[in-house]
Amino acid sequence: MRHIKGPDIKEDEQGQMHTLEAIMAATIMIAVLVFAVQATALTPLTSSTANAHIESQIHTIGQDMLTVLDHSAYGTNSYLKDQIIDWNGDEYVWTATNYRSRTNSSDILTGPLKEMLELVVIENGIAHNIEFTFNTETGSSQTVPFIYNGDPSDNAVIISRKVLISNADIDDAVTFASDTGISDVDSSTDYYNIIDVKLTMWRM
Amino acid sequence: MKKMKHCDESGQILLLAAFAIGFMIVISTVMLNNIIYASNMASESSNDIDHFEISNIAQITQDASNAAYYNATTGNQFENDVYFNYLETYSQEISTLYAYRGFSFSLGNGTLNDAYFTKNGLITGRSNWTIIDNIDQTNKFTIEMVDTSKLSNSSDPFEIQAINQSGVPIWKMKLYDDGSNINVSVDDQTHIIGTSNSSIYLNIINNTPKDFHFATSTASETYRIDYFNSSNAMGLYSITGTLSDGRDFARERYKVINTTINIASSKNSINVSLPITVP
Repeated sequence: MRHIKGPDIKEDEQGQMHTLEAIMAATIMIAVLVFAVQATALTPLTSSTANAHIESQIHTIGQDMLTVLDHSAYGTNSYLKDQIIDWNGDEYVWTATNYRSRTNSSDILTGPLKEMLELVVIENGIAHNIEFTFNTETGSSQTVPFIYNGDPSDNAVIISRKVLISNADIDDAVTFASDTGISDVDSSTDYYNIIDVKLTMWRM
Repeated sequence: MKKMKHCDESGQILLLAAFAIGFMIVISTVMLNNIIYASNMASESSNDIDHFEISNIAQITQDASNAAYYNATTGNQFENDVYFNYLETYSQEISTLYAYRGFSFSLGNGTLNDAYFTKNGLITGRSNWTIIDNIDQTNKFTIEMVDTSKLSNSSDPFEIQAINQSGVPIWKMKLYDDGSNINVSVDDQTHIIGTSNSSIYLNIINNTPKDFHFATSTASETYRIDYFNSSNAMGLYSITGTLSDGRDFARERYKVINTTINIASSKNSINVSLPITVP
C-alpha cells in the first residue's frame, strides 16, 4: 500500500488566499443584501417612506384645522374656545352620520368644529380623536376624551393647541367644573385653566 | 512553470484588491444612504418646537394679557397687582403643561408702558394702519394722552381718517403741537385744545372739547378708521360701535408690555420677545 503524503499546511499559500477570497465574497454578499434593504426604504412608494410623508401631510392638515378654529377677531372667542366652554363633559363618537354622545344618544355634536372635522377629516378617511389635557388643582395633569373613535395606530400624529379659559368666559363655573372635570386652578384671580386640545389623527 | 505560478498569485491579489474597492464603495454608499434617510426623518419630525407652537404661545400670551387686564379693571381703577398676579398664575400653569411634554418654559414680563398709537404699540411699529373696517356706526371714540411730548408739528401730524368703501376719506382729524399749543384740525378747521405738553382728552362722538363733526360726516356710510403717522402720538384710545353685519365691536389700547418667552427642549432653545398691547 502506497502512502501519499499531503501538502504541508504551513506552506499552502493558495489556501490562505482562498480563505481570504471566501471571506471577502461573503462580506460583499452581505453588504449587497444590506444595501438592497436600505435602498428600498428610500424609494417613494415603499411603505416606510410613504408613511412618513402621509404622517407629515396629516400633521399639516391638523395644524391648519386647529389654527383656523382657534382664530378669533379682536374681543371675540375663537370657535375652539367656544366649543370648550360650551362642552357638557360628554364623550362623542362618529356614527357614520354624526357625532353622538356615548351616554346620551340624543346629544349630537354641532358647531364649527364638527363641520370642520366632517369636511376635512372624515371626507378624507382619516380616523381621529380629540382629548383635552389640563392641570388640576393639585398640580397634576389630567386628560379627558372629547371625541373618541378608537385606539390610534402606530402611524398616528398628535397636534396640540392650547386655549386659555378665564372665569369671565364661563357662565357657571361650578356646573362647568362638575360636568367636565376641568377645575379652576386659581380661585384668587380670574385665571381658570389652560386646555391643551390634542387632536390625534391616523390613516385607517 | 514557476513563472505561471507567479502570474496566478498576482491575479489573485488583483482580484482581492478589486473586491476590496468594491466593498468600500458599497459601504460608503450605504453610509451616505443612511445619512440622507436620517436627515429626511429629522426634518419630518414634529417632536421639537416648531412655528405652530410659537404662534400658539404668542396668541395665548396675548389672551392672558387681555384677560389679566379685564380682571384688573373690574373696578374703575386699573389694579397693577391683580394684573401681574394673573400673569404669574398663567406663567406657572403653562410652564407645568410644557414640563409634562419635556419642555422648559419661562415667561418674563417687563413693565407696562404707555403705548404709541402704532399697530403693535411700539415706536417702531407700523405707523399707518387700519384700526377696524366695515363700520356702520361708532358709538364711542375717545382718545386720552397724558404724555403729549411725542406729538409732532403740523408738517407731520398724527392723523385719524374715516374712509368709506370707495376709498374716499369722509372725515379727517389731525393732532399736532405747533411749539406752544396743541392743535386739533378737523375738516380744515383748527382749534387749540391745550398748551404744549399738557394732557388732553378727546371725546370725538360727544364733541368734547370741540365739535368734531364725526357723526354727521360718517352718517349713512360704511367706513373704516385708519391711523396715519401714529408713531407721533402716545396714549389710550377706545372705540366701540356696530359693524355693517350688525355685530358689535370694541377696540381699546391701554398700555404695551414687552414680554420675553424662553422655551427649550433638550436640543433647542428659543427666545421670543413679544410686544403685547393691553387689552
